[in-house]
Amino acid sequence: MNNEKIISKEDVQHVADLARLALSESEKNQFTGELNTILGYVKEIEEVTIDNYQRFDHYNLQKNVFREDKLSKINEREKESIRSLFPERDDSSLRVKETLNGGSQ
Amino acid sequence: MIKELHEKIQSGEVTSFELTKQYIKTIDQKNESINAFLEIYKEGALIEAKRVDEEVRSGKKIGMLAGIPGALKDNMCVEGKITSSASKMLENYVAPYDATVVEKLKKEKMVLLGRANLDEFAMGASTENSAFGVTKNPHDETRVAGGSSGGSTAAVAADMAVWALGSDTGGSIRQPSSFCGTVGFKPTYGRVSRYGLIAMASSYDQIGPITKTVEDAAIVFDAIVGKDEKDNTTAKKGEGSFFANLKPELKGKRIGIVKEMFSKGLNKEVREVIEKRIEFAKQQGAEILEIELPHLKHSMSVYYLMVPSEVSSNMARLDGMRFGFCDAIENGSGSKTILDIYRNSREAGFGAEVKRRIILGTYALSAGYYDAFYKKAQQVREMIKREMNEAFEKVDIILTPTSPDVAFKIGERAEDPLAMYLEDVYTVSANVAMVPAISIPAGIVERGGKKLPVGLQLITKWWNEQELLNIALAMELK
Repeated sequence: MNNEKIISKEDVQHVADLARLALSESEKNQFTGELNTILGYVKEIEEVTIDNYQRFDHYNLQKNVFREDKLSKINEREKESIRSLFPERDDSSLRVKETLNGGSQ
Repeated sequence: MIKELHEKIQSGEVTSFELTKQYIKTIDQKNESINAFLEIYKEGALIEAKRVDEEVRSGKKIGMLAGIPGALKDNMCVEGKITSSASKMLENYVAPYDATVVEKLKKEKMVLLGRANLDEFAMGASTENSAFGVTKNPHDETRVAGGSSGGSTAAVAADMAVWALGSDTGGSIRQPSSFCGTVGFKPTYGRVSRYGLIAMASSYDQIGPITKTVEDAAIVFDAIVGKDEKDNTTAKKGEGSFFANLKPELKGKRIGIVKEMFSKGLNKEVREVIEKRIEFAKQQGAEILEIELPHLKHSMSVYYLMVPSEVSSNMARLDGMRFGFCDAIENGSGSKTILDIYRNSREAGFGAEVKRRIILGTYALSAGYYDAFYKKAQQVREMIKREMNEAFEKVDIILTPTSPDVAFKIGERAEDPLAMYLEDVYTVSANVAMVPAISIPAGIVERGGKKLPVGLQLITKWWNEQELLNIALAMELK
């Protein structure tokens, strides 16, 4: 439906890197094609003229609600149920790979 | 249906235990082929049922939903239970807390039968994106149940649950309801707490009931509605019982029809079914008015730019650390650095549609495209909201088909993401404008000797759920 290329395979690779997502070669090819079709469709939005634009809220979402900066109690059972979800742990700590030096490579 | 069952349980004519056993029996017979449930809580459900029966025996007056067996879409957290979102990423994730809707339903003493299948993280319109197999349509098992709440609608349609909850981001309650012949109700954004709902697109998601009748939808809605301190987007509104105030209303109501929604793209037989119902409304004294919503045609673009953007942000928390699938653990020493863990866990944990939306969303939010895509979509969204609001000064309800066609064949659209996206063409506008909408059965169309349900959608203005339910009740097939 649209032959104009909006997003290249390199773009897909770049965006996937930003999103911390590894992709196989075949996925990269597949997504490049599909995303061009989808973007070819949604790109029509560029043609819309925005006249006297104003935010329109069905109720006041912009009012911020603050709560007291107070620690809430959490019991041992709840703590353990959260800790048990850690992929790798050291007693009550989450074990992660090194993030500095070699970690960022 | 719920009201009658409630009266029988309260009077002792039927026990919740017997009722629950009967539903479990149906699940045992049908679920293997339909695949509506990912997990069934047989023992737990029967224990919950017994508790209600004990209360009845001790002379206590029980609530409307007490002892009535139902199902939850598997993206709502239930403490101590797996909440997988039909993703490999959360296959073994045990929720440490209850979602607000679950907490509320537990207070109502619901009987929870199990967790229902969905498209992975609710992204899809057929449940074909589930990591645990497609849900088949109970009316024709070669066809999809619709999605993303396909497990919930198939369970209710096949008598495997009296009621179910779904979540609706662009039609995920209404479109599968149309395909399965159930009532599917998406309330105003901000009516029902999203706390504990695994987020897809936070400014679009809303939880709602899936039932056999409009009355049942009002009963389930009563149980889950309300402001929640844990969800800042919920609003405090007058919260009387929608069920208590339910009465058929059609005479003198102004029903708006958007002409473009009845032209190209709509299947002819489906159109005839819907037109018959419009004729019925006219006979009952409703006024039919043609209305124009010039920016409505941009809803799909707004939706498929903003939703993937929000998806890419919400999915960022799933990185193999803290909880969920971790490549370093599952695949041994494949991931050596923390970046490897992030990238490989996400590569192995997510299915194709989730990845597609993450990439699309990250792209729309990235420098150079943000203004042209994301910001523009936000502005057009506001224009559509304003336009809808103006339309509801002229009409009480907008009536549309729920879906352009009946349930499609399994596999038919799997290779074409855009065609799948266009499934939501009539439903997304309600999410874009944050208004409430309901799909009710309107009739049937025959395909290959099978009778397939057609749904009709009613949309109204913000917070106007009572009138919406009242009109839906009057429009319901008798």
